[in-house]
Parts: sequence; structure tokens; C-alpha cells
Amino acid sequence: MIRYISKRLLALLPMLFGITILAFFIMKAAPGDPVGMFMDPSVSLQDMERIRSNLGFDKPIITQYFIWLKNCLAGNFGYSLVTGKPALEAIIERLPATLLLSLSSLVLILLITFPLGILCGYKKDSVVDDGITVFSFLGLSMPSFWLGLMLILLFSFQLDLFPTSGFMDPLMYGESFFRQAGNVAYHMFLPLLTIMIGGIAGLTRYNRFGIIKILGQDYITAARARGLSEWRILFKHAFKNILLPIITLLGLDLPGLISGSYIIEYIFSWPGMGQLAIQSVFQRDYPILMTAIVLSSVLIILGTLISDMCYALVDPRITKKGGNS
Amino acid sequence: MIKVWGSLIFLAGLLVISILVSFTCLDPTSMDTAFIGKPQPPSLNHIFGTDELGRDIFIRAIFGARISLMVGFVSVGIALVIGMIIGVLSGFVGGVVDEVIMRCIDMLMALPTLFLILIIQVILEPSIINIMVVIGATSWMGIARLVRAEVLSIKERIFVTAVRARGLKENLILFKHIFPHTLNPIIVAAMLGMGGAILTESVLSFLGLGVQPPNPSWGNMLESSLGYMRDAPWMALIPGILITCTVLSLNFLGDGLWLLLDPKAKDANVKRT
Repeated sequence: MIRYISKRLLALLPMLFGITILAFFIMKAAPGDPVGMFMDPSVSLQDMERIRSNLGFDKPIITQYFIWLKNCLAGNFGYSLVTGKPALEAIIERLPATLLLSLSSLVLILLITFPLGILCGYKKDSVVDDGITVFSFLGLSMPSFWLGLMLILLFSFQLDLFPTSGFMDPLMYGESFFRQAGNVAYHMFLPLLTIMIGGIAGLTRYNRFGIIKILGQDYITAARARGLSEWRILFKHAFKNILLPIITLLGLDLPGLISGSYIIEYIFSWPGMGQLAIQSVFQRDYPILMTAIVLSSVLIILGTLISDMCYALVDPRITKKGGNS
Repeated sequence: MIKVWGSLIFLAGLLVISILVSFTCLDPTSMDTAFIGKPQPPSLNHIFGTDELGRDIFIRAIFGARISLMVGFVSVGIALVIGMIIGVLSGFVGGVVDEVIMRCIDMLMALPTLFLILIIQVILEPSIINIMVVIGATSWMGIARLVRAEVLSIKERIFVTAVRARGLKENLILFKHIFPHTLNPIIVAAMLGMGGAILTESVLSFLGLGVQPPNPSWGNMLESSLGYMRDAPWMALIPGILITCTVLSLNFLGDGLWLLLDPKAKDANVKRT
């Protein structure tokens, strides 16, 4: 197990290196002069040159990359071109909101998709199954931002139940923790629902296939023949095997979940990493963009790693083989 | 089967209408100046209503369909070409080449794709050609993996050994005997990929980084609806419903084809719908 994990970790290093190279050169390919953009036109050319060389923009591009990488490793990702804050700090202060939203949606998605998938797999081809399948297709086919807009239209404009955007009412500062938490949850409802509908739709479909496949296998028939109750078969015999495809899928789905929640955060003005990232795209704030792309890739890689490890934990065959590529 | 036929009819209808509309004198940018700033609800004159500049939403939606379908076709085409070449290379050559390619694909898949596309669109000038190229260039990884897996499993099969024993050249074996077998899963992946490309285009245009106004696209129609959500909900409803129906049809079609083409799908024992 330890050998397997260390092997996986080692394989991550070149990947991270590649991602930093990609992020850096994409940013460097950008037209537009980040110095000239924020300068008064009256600043003299010599001064502009001086500012450029202060920022290191006059060095060869390879040197610039290694300087940037060295700084990154030391935790210095540069400074926002708009606010002047350290980029890492600007993003990390957005992280809690993002994690709150994405982790709670992940947990809820899993809690809901499991019973749904089992129900579908079990009652294959029934009305319930057909209904859930159509719902999951529909959820997969909807642009998530449009779903968000429609939920705003319904819950905020028509029913006037939930706020359209934000994290917490300004009036809540100074209130007790529980009242603040309640208010945050109240604001989180719509973005959470939007992310959940998409996530549940995707996972339930795969879940259903997994369960149908497993329930058709010989050992299940054998267990049935021995007269075990259906519950016992489902939760003692089939359960671990149902977990397997879900874990893999979660690893595969993670980039989508993270990318997808960017736009949801933006729609609902949720003060997370995604909202900052999209705003920075419009402001051409390269240091923030580079940091955001590197950090979210790291998050995704970590997630994949965790899902791989869970997989190895559930399925001993993986570590015995020495890991499959 | 209802789902598949329904999807086929819907998509074919959309395709035919969006092609035919090029030959009419309808203009998606023509404004009804009486209604500027006052979007009109659906009526007999404008069956989907008008937007904030008094333009007919029905006509704009049809021109939007043309763009969406084009983006879907072309970007999936690009992704297919890249994905197939790289997948075949990786699976057939194997060894170090395979290892390096797979690592690179892992890396690219760890990047938040949508965000990457947004950044590239900001760097390049947003134009319809750029959108198609960027979406195609960032979505071939899944196809490459699929093709590689197919090639890997097929090249071990006995019939390949048999043709090799007959002394056929390696590249002939690849193109005549192995490659055709990978086509079925690719067709399915292409259908699903097209839906994905249409969704991506709508996000890009919605954020103002895709099709530029006054050219209509479903995404930028949604963008312009933002300020009128309360007073003119039809402006937001109609393009969204069209996107959903189009992508839904592509997904149903992909799923139906999968059941039809892949014997393994029938093993998983799913009802033909």
C-alpha cells in the first residue's frame, strides 16, 4: 500500500511541473501590456521601461519562468495587477467559501445519488427507473448557468423565497455564530441546488449501470439461491463492488465539478475562488489567473489521488498488481 | 425507441431550418424600433416575443441554432482528428511513446478545462473560428483514451495475429483491420462530445467571450436577458430550452447508438428505449 502511494505521488511531480509550464506560457502568450494598461499616459517611456525591468518583464522568457517557479515554490505567486495584493493570499482568502460550497455539494450528491442509483438498478425498467433516467439525462443536458438563472427566476423572483446572490447579509456581522451559519446556508441554497442537480444527474446514471452489472453476476445469483434476503445481498455482498465505479467516477468528475462551480459561483456572486478567477479573466489579472489555474489543478490532482487511494483501499487487486496506468 | 426517434426528428428539423434560413431574407439584427427597451411577450407577430432591442427572438434563435450546430460539428471534428491520431499512435506503438502520451493526457485532464478555454478566449480575440478550434483542441483527451483502449484490446485479438501471419504490413493491419473496430465507440463519443461543445459555446457566449453581438447565439441571447429576468422571463427561457433540447437529443442519440452498436451494453442489460 505504502509503495503504491509513494509511486503515485512520484508520478505527480512531472505532472505538476508540466502544469506550471503550461500556465506560465499561456499567460505569456497574452497580448496587451500589463504595465501600460495601468499607467497614466503621461508617464514617460523611460519610467515605463524602468517599471518593466523592476517587474522582470525584460528578461528572456525561460529565465522569467524559472524565476516565477522559484518564487512559487517559496509561496510567492506574484501580486495582483488590480489590487496589488499577493496573488496567493487573494486566492486563499476565497478558498473557504469554495470549499464550503463544493464539499457540501459533494456530500449531498453522494448521499442522494446512491439510493437513487440503487433504486434504479433494482427496479430496472420500471416507471421509477425511467423517470429517474430521464431526469438524469435532462440534468446532464442543461447548461448549469442557465439552470442557476432559472432557479433564481423561480425561487427569488416568483416565489421570493431565497436571495439571488451573496454569501451573508451585511446585517449579520456581530450576530451569534449559529445565526451567521444559518444565514450563509440560506444564501447557499440556490447555488448548492444548482450544482447538486448537475452532479446527481451525472453520477446516478453511472451508478445505475454499475448496479445492474453487479446484480447480474453469478455470486449474487448464488446468494439469492441460498435464500438470503434482498437487503442482505445488497448491503453485504454487492455494496463494496458498487462503491468501486463510483470512486473512480468521482475522481474523473472532479475537474468538471470544480470548473463547473466556477461559473455557478460567478452567477450567484458566491465569494469563492471561481468568482475571483472569472473576474480576473475579464480584468486580465495574470498573476491571479496563473495562481488560480495552478491551485485548482493541484486540488484536482489531490482529489484524483485520494480517489485512487480509496479505490486501492476497497480493491486489494490494485496494489497487488502494482497499480495500473 | 421513442427517445431516439424524437431526438433524430428534432435535430434534423433544427438542421434543416437553420440551413434554409440562410436562403431567406430574414435578418436576425433587424429591430422593431417601437419596442426598444420594452421586450414584448410572445404574440402572433413575434411567436417567441422580442428582446430588449425589439428584435424577433424566434429569428435570432434560428440563427443561433445555426451557430450552435456549426460549433458542435466543427469542434467535435477537430477533437476527433486529434484524438484518433494520438489514441492510435499511443495504443499501437506502445512502449515509451504510450507512457509519455498517457502522462501528458493525465496532465491535460487535471486542468480545469472551462477555465482554460476562458483564458485562451481572452488572449485570442473571441471569434467563431477561435471558439471551434479552442473547444476542439481542449476536448480530444477523452477520445484519445477511448481509441487507445480499443486499439490495445483489439490488437491482442486472434484475428490480428492471423492477418499478421499472412504477412500484411503493419500499417495496413492498423488501418484495415484494427482501426475500423474503434469506430463504434467513437461515433457515440462524438455525439456526446457535440453536446458538450454546444454547452461550452453557450457558456463562452454567455460570458461575452464567444460569439459577439449583434450576431445571435443562444449563449449571448441569455447574456442579454440578464437585465430583464424579472420583466421578460421569455428572453431567458427560450434560448435555454433550445440548448437543453438540442443537447438532450444528442445525448439520447448517443445513448441509443451505444446500445445499438456495443454488445457489451446489452450485457449490462439495458432496455432498448
